[in-house]
Amino acid sequence: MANLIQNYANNIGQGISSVNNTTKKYYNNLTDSNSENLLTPLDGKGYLVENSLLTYPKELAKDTYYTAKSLQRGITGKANDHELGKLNDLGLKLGGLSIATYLMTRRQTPKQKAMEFIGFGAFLASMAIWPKVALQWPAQLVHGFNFRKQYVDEQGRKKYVTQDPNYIPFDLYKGKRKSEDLGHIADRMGIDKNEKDRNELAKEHIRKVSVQNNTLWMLTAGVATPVMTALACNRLEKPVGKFFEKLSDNKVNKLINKIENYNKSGDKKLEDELITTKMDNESGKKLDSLLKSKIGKSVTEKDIDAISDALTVGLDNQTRKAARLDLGYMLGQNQTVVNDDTVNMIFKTLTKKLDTKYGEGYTASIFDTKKIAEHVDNFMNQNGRPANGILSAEKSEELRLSLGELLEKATNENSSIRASRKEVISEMATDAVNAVFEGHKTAVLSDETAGYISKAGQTIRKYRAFDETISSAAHFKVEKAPETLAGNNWGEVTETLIKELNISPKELNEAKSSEELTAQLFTRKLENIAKNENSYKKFITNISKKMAKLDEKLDNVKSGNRPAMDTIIDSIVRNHDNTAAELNGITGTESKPFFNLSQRIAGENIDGVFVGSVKDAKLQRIKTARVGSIQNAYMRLLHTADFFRRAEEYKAGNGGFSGNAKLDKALIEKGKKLLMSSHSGDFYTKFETHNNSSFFKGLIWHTFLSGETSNATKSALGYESHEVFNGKTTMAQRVSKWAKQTGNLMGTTLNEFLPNHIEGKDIFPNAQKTAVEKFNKVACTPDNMLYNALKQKFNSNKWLRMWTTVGSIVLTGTLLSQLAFGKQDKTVQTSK
Amino acid sequence: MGIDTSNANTTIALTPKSAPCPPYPHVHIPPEHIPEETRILPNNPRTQAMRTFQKVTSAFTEYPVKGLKGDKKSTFYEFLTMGSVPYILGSATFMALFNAAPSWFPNFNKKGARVGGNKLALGVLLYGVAKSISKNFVTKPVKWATGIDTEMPYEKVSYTIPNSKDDTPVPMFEQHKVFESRDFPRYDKLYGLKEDKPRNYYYDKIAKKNGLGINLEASDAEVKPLIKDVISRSSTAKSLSTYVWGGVGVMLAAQNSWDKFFRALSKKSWKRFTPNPNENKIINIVDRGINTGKNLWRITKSFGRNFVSASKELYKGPATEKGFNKHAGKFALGFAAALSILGAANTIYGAKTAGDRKMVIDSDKKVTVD
Repeated sequence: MANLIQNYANNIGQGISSVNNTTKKYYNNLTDSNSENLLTPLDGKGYLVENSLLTYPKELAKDTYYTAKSLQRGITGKANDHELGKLNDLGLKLGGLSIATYLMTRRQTPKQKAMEFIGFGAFLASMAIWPKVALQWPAQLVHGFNFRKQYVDEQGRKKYVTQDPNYIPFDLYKGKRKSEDLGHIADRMGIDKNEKDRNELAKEHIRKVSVQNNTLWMLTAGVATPVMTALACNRLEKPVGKFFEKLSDNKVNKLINKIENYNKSGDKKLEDELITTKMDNESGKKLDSLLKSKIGKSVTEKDIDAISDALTVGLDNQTRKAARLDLGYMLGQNQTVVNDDTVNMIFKTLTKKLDTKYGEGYTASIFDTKKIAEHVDNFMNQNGRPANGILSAEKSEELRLSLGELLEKATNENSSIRASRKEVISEMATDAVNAVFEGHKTAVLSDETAGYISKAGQTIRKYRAFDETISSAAHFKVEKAPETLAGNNWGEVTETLIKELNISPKELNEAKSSEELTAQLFTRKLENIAKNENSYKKFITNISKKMAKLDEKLDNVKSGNRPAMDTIIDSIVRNHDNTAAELNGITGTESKPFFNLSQRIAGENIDGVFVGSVKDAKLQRIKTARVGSIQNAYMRLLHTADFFRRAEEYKAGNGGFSGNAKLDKALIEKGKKLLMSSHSGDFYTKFETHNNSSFFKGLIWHTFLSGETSNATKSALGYESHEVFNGKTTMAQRVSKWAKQTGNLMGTTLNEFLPNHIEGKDIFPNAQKTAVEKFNKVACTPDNMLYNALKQKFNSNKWLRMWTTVGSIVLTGTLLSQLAFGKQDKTVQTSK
Repeated sequence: MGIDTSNANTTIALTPKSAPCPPYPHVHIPPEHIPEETRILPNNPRTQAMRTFQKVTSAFTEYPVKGLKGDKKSTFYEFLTMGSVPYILGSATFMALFNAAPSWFPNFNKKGARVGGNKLALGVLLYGVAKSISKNFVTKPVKWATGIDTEMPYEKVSYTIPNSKDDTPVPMFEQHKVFESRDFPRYDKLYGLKEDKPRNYYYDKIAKKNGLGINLEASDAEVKPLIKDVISRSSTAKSLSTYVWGGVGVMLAAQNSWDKFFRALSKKSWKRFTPNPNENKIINIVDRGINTGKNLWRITKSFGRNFVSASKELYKGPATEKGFNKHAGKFALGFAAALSILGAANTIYGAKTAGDRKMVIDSDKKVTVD
């Protein structure tokens, strides 16, 4: 037994000794590189995440799944803190998407709508990119490790290694990769190889630099993220705009092709797509139910207004007035309502007159209300008791006369009345009957009239639906609105103009203050460019190419199909003409009851020209007011440049003006100013040359009418021909045509150029010299075009410079901070 | 604070100059007595204001200084608290982005740019306000229905380890919430909440309110899983709904009604005060004050009026639009409200049905030791 105990004690002692030895060996070998023979715990499940472009999709999918699972666990009350943190990020995105979706509904164009989402995306991207680019990568470069390295812990939670400086999982740095090897990191940090505890020094360095970088991240993100977002959006706007312009243009061109096919074939399927599905059935229902409720009943003026409003929903005021006029004729008040009220009113009117004159109760003593009522009742019975007591014009006249006779008879048969008074009373009685019958006159909506109106309603709704389809295409092509082809082209041309004029920031700053300063700058720049043939040609070529793009895009020339704008114009004409014809086709007892409306839509034919119509307004809007005024401004700019070039050529001894050097100097000086800056009003005042009509004539001749174009201009403009609405016209021909037309239109020597004025022996017709035509031809002046573009440029440059500076300062400061980070505490002494 | 630092060593540096290496000897002797000053605070506006003030001022001053130095005592709490810096600076930067440049724009461009900028700046403000207020749409109903105030604040006080013998320990204050962590709620702070009540008073109350029963042997053990459930569900509801409410704030600011408010806010609308030369200085100062007050009241009224009309505008949508474009405001409001209501309802449901779920611990046995 004693032995047994002894042995047991010995064994225990040996065991303890063995453990002690192992522990001792373990600690003694802690700094040894070879620890393979030591007892080690099992490896944990945690690991460092190696992020790269290759692993990104996998990690993204994992993260998304994790967030979805977190949501499910959050709703069921099981989510842990880490999962709840993920749900916070999800909430941020949900909120951001809500904002972008709502703001999208408030934007008009696809580009603006897309920019709301792009803005939000840029914000999220900036939040992610800033710490990576401004902190993580520079820190890695300087300090040799990634302070934003992620790890997955035992519970599968992905976190940043250094987010909590007191719990950095250094045990996961197992040296599998260089980035996970503390020894390697220590090398990169420049820690002496002879340091006995390099890893500990490296860890402390990692901790310190991480705390510093995390702090700097918090301090800079607030400024950097919004600035990056805004700058990114600013830079993205242009490419996004181009992308959506292309997208919308393709869509609109497809639509125009369909319209063209429909016009040619009348295909039912296309009709459904382009017209029927777009019809406003709601207003149709409203009109028909209104008509139904009024059929066979008397209608008041208010009722006619309501019918007119329902019939003409969505049309302009003038057209609505025309429809109201037609309805007024159709629903004329030529019938009379006869009911109990008729007799009462007659008696009341008589009583008021007679009792006032002859004393109270006088009327009752002469006339018996019952007898009058009986008479009316008998009459209505004899005429088959018409519905709602409505009598035709003839019958109501019959009744009126018979009532007059009845009252006259009652007066005459009353012996108590003096003969002279009988006459007065009879007259008063007739007056009372007439007044009441006049007051009871009414219009009645017949079945036939209701049918006309309903049919017209259907025609108008069809017209509106097709018009809407055509307008949606026309709008994108030409309208004065953001992101239209015409608007974008104007932007491109003015941008090219600024670029070609080579305007410095200083000049931009000065010129943006006033149009006058812009004109001076523009003149100076253009004179310089015009001096050199090559630079002049480059200027004209680049600008005119951009201008020509408008024609190409409007007509979709590249497709090889029929010019798109021709289809639009034809369709507008067809829709209006067909509608007018359909309205005129509604006929029955009344001939062409919608004559005024149809004429308002398609126009009154005066000498073969349909004028004053909706059709004409729509055509002129597109051709003259929109495309025309833009093209006129372009032509004016090119013509102005040509004049500058011709002036230079003249100075160099080529070409010619009047031959009188002094006069030519004045002509050139004034001509430049005229072309550069003159508005309609300046033409009206003849540029203050009233007392010198021969100079004015010379000026107009040399600036507009001479037909001269510099060879440099002609060659720079090229010989490619395509002009929207006019087909095969070269740019040079167009410039020349514009100059001639404007000269003829504006260059009169008389003061008056209002419609129908006489010049010489000729009466100038209305169409050619209206104020609007004059306005369109003079168009936007070159200096005004540049001035507006410069202001825009200045604003956007100012904004961009300001925030680029702020962004650069923050970025530079952040980058330089790395050099100050990680400095060792001088009180720390290390052992070697 | 009664902390004895006489035993503290002279340095806590990585390797003390005189110390052998490695391993490091544990040179610090912790203070003998650290008073427990961590305490639950009443959840009221005063506390909230105090906490916000302390967190924000620390986030802009003390913590960045420590952090930029790479201080050994920098903590995760400080890092998290500094999260308010990008939030505040970001809001200010967004406002500046929309408003700073127009001052240099040509005259005719200034006005348009400013109106747009003002609206966007207001959007940033209303985002913050709506996000902050909307938290209550979840937390208040949850508190009324379950008795658990998920926002219950507490202040944690700790003392730094002295750097040297002569160092005075500095108390560090951290503003937390008892239920901010689902993994580690501060259950310990809920024992003995009221001196004259039983130690489990709070747990008894929550158990009773949520139908777990009364006079339970171990109400704390019963209630703790329920609390975790409430934290998880309410936090989910808050995360999802408050950002959408913040979005509603931005949408509200995008309405045209605010144009009138911006006019009321403009310099031109400010009724200037002209001192009366016949009155003495004090009366003029008082009158100036009254004038300022009147102007501020006018602006406040304008804000209120336009807030109401902007809300109506958001709800009704533009008269010219149809379908989703017209009703987008309604949808957004409905979506935000639905998230809050459903989130709160889900939390309350979770608490009320907690008793039905299988319990690991037998509720009839006492498992805690006082």
